[in-house]
This record gives sequence, structure tokens and C-alpha cells, in this order.
Amino acid sequence: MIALIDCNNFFASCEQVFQPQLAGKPLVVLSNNDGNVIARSSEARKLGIGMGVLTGSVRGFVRSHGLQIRSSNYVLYGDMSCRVMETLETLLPNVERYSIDEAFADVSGFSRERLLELCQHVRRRVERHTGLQVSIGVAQTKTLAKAANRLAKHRPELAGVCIGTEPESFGRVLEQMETGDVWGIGRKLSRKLSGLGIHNAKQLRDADPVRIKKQFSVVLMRTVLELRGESCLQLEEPEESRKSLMCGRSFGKPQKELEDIRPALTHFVQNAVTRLWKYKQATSALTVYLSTNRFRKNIVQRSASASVEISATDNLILLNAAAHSALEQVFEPGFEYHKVGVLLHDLVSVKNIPASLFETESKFQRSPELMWALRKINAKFGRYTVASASVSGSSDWKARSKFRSPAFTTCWNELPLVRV
Amino acid sequence: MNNPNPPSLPLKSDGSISKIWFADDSQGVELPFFDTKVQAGFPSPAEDHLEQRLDLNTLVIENPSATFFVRVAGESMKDIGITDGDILVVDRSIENWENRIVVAVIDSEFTIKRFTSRDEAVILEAENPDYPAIKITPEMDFSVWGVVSWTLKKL
Repeated sequence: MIALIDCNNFFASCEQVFQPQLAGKPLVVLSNNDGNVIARSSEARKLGIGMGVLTGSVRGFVRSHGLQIRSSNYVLYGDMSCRVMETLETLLPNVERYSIDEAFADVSGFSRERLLELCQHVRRRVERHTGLQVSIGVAQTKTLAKAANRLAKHRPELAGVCIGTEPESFGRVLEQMETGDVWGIGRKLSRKLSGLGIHNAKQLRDADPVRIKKQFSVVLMRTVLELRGESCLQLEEPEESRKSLMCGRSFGKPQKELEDIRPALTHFVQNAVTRLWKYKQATSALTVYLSTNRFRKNIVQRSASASVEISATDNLILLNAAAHSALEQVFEPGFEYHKVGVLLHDLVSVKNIPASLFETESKFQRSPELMWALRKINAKFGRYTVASASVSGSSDWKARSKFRSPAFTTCWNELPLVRV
Repeated sequence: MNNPNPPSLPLKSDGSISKIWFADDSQGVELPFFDTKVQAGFPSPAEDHLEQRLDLNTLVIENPSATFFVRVAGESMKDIGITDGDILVVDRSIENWENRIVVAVIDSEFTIKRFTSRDEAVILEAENPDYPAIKITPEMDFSVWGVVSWTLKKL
């Protein structure tokens, strides 16, 4: 059994935790450079504000409905994400941080009643500890867990938890679900499926996997199998619906030294950036997290994260340098670290970024010679002196973010102010 | 915890994790123990060890993922030592609010008061005679945000 734990309206909720005046108000969060809407509170959704619409198009709601606008604050979201994940890791085994606001956990071996109890406990605990609400869907496969999660979000009577232990029981749910809402299916693919008479998720489930493989891809065939309850672990969300990208895992053995952790982080950054390139995306913020092993009771525990904001880029060197400066911030000696990871936020399509930035960089950043040189330098000096200079040297790192709330949880000068 | 699996890294080509192994902690970590009595004229065996410096975090933060800091503006809590400009450590994981100093939200505004409940009515008391207690009525939008566990004051 797999549980998908997903934060409700994550960005908007992070803002509301520290700005109670925003609770219950229509609120939107803007993308890097304040270009368009990337997150909405449920009240903003009810106004009919769509995902991704241009900022200019929602201005009217400010006056008419008291719409609140915030620039994205990835430092805050990154920290809150880690708090949620850490809380989950104390309650559930094998938590897989999947994105900034989603995690999978293996919940095999529980009875249905115990599962329900456990999930409710997780929900209460996360909300108590972080102020954020999560929904939990449990099913045989990740794709079905996602469908169950969707139901948990949309049906208030389920109180945020939906458990579907039998794959067959999903028939009606899938029937009412458009293919575009199935995990891993983007808008383009959904339209193509419609052309073949496959309009809802149930029709997709009942389609012939061989035919799907032939006409589409092995990836979509796996989705079909997953909908039938056969777990296919090689799942990856397509670029269209992906807003963030996570890469990290535990070490083979505990690491105490910063220099021993660096190669692992570099590896994950390279991995994540390769995935960025694959879909021609860029990122404008990243979070690095580092933690000890919670399941070892006899060691001193520590878990920390730091975020860095940059102007949108897909440049490996810049991103690696940014990640390592974040690692330097979170690293404290004296602990046996177990896990490191990097999270890239605010993914945008490279074609949506001002060309001047990329025309000059795109050629060299993918050159194998440079990659080789980078590794060589790393191996020799174990540091990123060359790359770090380019991080601090540039002046246009700061993106435009006129409506940014303070870094409430990560900066002493920006703590929430309480009048007493 | 026994780990029959070798500590190989279950990393897939796309960088995602297929499975997270538990680290092997069957070998306990021996923590240094220091006897406070030192024999005069006899070299202390402890001198060979280095004890870690005291970390303020371990003192004031019990549950890091549920701990937040806020800054105080105002004097309504001055009799308990919370004054303008202090930084408070707020632990959201503490669930017993009775008689504790809490960060509360009343009608969309933060405040800090002592939480008391009498006959099912919640009363938020100030720690300064110049400020009246606040009785929470059903019309109020009220919640407890977290419990104040420490105040940090620059002298």
C-alpha cells in the first residue's frame, strides 16, 4: 500500500500561517518575476482565477473582491516543506519526498481501520506542528494513490483521508476523472486520448495496454497498469504538470564531513539539472536539505534546510554553486548525516525566459569539456571556487518580486511581529 | 535494527529513490562520559577527548520542525519578562495550553497571552495590570498558534 501525502494549497497556506489576516481571503501567489499566478487559495479558485493566468488579468479582483497578491517566497516554502517532510518522517517509514508539497510513504501491513487511524493522526500532527493541512490518499499504486488523494481533497466528508485498498473499487471514481487529472498525463496527451474516444480515467484503465504502448509510449502503458493496481515504480511526472523537482537520497553510510557530503550533492544537482534540460526548463530557486537518520535513536539528530534564490537559469554550474552555498549554510559539524537532497522550485519553460540570458550561456553550459573541467576542479580542490565567483559576481540575481512576504522562518530580521 | 541489505544506494537513473534503507545502527555509539571528580595530581583521562561545545539549540529547541521564532512588539506581557523587542521561541507541538503563554490568533491578528480556561470559557490573560484579560466568545475567530517556550532578550 502506498500513501500520497499532499499539502493543500501549499504556497498560499504557507503565506497564511504567518499572516493570519490572509486566512479565508482570496489569495494568489505569483511566479518568479511576478509574471503570472502559480498558486491560489481555495477562495481565489472560487473566484474563477485560473492557474497560470497573467498577473494583469487578476488585478481587477483586488478592488472588487479584496484579492491578496504575494510574490513567490521560495525561501519560506522550502523551509515549510522540510518541516512537513520531517514531521512525516517521524510518523511513517520509507517517506519519499516527491516534490515540494508531496511525499509518498509505504504503508503496507496495516488493516484498513489502522490505516485510517494512522492517516488521521498524520494529518492532525502535521497541522499542529506546521499549521499546514495535508490530504492523504492510500492505494495499491502511486497513480491510484494520487486519484484517492484527489478525492480526499474534493470531498469534505472524507476529512482529508481517502483509502482505497481494492483497485477494483476505483471504477466510479475514475469514471468521473478526466484523463488530464490522472497522474502523469498532461494537457497535450489528454487531448490526444480524447481523439481516440478515451475521455475519462476509467476508459484509460480499460484500454488495451499493448495498443496504448504502440500508439503512445511505454510510459502511458505503465499508467494504464497502475490504474489497474499493478505497481510500476519507474514513474515520472511529465514536464507539463511539474512545478518542482526533487533529487536526493540517503548515503550508504553516515557522513560527518562537509567535504564527504559535497560529491553526493553535486551528483543530485547534476541529476536534477539533467532532468531540467530534458524538458527545456529552468529554475529560479532551490532548497538543499540535510538530515541525520531518525530511526537511529542513539545519535544526536539534526535536520536542516536552506534555500537560495537566483534569476531563472538552467546553468549547471550556477545551480551547483548555489546548491553548495546552501549546503554550507545548513552544514554543522558534529552530526552523522544520513541524507542530502536538492529541490528545484518554480520550474519554467526555457522559452519563457528573456533570450539574452540564455543565448550566451546555453552553448557552453552543455559542453562536455566544461563538465569534465568542472569535475576535475572538484576532484582536485573539493570546492567550487570558480563557480561560486559567478554566483556572487552577477548583480541581476534578484528577481522582481514586489509583493514578497518576509522570510518568516529563516531570517532573524524578518520574524513575524506580534503586537502584545 | 538489523539490516540484511548491503548499504548499496538504491538510486535509479532518473535520480529518484526506489527504496530508502535504514542505516545499520546495531553498533551503538558510545557517548563520552565525564566524571566530575578529578584526582589532583593525576592526568584526567578526559583530556584526551573533546566534548562538543554547548549548542543553544539543544537547550531551547525540543522539536525543530515545529519550532518558530517571533518578535514581540508591546508591553502587555512585561510582568512575566516578555518585553518589546524580545524574540520568542514558539513550540507548536506542545498541546497542553492550560496556563501556558501562547501565541494566539484572535480575529486574524496575532497576540501573546496566558491561556486559561474556566468553566469551558477561554480567557487570555495579560501579564501587565494595565491590560485587561480577553474573554473568548463564540463570535470570535480564535485559535492557538503555538506555545511560547522561551524568551530571548538582549540586555
